[in-house]
Amino acid sequence: MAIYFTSASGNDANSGTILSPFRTLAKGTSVLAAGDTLNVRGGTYLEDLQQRIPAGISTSSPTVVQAYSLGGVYEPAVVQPTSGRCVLITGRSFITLRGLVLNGINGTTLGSDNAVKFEISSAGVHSDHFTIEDCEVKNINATALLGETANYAIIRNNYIHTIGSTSGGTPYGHGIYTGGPTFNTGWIIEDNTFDTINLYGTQLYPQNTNSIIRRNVYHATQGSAINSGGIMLANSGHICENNIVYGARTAGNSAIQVSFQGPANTTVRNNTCYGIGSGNGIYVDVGATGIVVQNNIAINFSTNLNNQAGSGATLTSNLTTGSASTIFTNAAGGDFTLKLGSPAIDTGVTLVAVTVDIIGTARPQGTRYDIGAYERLVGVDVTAPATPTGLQVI
Amino acid sequence: MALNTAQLSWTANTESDLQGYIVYGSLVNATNNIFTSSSIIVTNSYTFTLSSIFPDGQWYFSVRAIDNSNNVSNQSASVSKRMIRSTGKITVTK
Repeated sequence: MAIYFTSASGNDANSGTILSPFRTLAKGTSVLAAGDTLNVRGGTYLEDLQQRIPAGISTSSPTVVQAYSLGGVYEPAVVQPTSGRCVLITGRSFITLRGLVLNGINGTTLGSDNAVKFEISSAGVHSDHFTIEDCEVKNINATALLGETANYAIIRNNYIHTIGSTSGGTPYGHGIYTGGPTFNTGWIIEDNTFDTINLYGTQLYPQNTNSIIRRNVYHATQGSAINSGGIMLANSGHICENNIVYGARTAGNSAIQVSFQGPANTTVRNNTCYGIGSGNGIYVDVGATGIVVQNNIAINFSTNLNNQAGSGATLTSNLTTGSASTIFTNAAGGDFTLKLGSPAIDTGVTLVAVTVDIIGTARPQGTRYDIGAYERLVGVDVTAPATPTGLQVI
Repeated sequence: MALNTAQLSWTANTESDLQGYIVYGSLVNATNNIFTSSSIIVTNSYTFTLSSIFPDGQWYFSVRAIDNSNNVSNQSASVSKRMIRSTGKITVTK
């Protein structure tokens, strides 16, 4: 597989090596064959990547466009088109974007100027096995990462923020949206940070199935009062675990919402939801079946755990009472680790499939599983008690 | 109070995760201990009785607090009491 380089100080007449890099993304991607890699050196590129990246070969040999990194640190390679989307992939599979800054500050078309859209082609060719990792995605006036009839996407360790707009009276902007027009399956969304998102942080809707959402932090989602929230789990077969959802921007729907498209067989476990005194913490819709809600913290909402599905949902060991000051280290400061003596410690049920917490701490610590996204390390308290005073002897 | 008994008391700590206290006693000073309470005690008082294995003399006492994570406080200021195991008749020699 060939490796090429593009640099802000390069020249498109060059050969594309690290010592003789191209200047533009257009040139750099034009030479890529399936499975090749384009390393993008630090700089701001005022151009897009719409249908410029060829399909890869397999999951182990994708076509890669990535910020150049040395010693594990990415150079700040900013993809900032003068208009429109940053990236469009239509009918091409096995593509990886890594370490880039996708800045949609110049995208003015509300609702369509995504950071990345990967979609099925008009001829029915999918854009499957698409990976976006280690990227910063920002200033998008539409859904940031939009996949339509795309299977097996991996969205990992990205910082997705400042997404969406209410201009024109219609709210826009999910962090991640899995659209149709037909069924798609098997997404993994993990270790991302979402901040200041106008609608849902992540919306698995309407036809997405069997996806995993884990170890993400959602802050200041649901900026619009309608049709918005932290995580939407429509359809069936999802696992949602070890996420933190807190600090909604307005009184929207729910931090975690299991609803639409006949929700079934979805598991919501070991999440921490902290509200602003309104909306739902965890909501299970009417008619849902086979839903399992276990070991979650949901407090400070109008309704902390709102189960409309009756026996369609199994609710076990969820903490939905108590104050933040008795449960968390510093909720106001966004620190949802469990304080010593928290009622969430060692009060969960054993979930053998959940082997770690949001930061990789093995579960369980102590005698039982903790409730919420964090497992409290035993012995982590290193603060000595005060020195005793007033000693007397008779 | 009997001369072979020291009744100790101190102000209770306020930590929510307090496990208890360890009591120290010594004939020399409170930081060079020849005796500690046999187990962590949970109340803010303790009675030490001079048994046959301990000599008479000026005894110094102090306490440390310990929490559930086994963090231990500094040693408190010490107090002392002259303790005598035998309370029999005083023999005066000419």
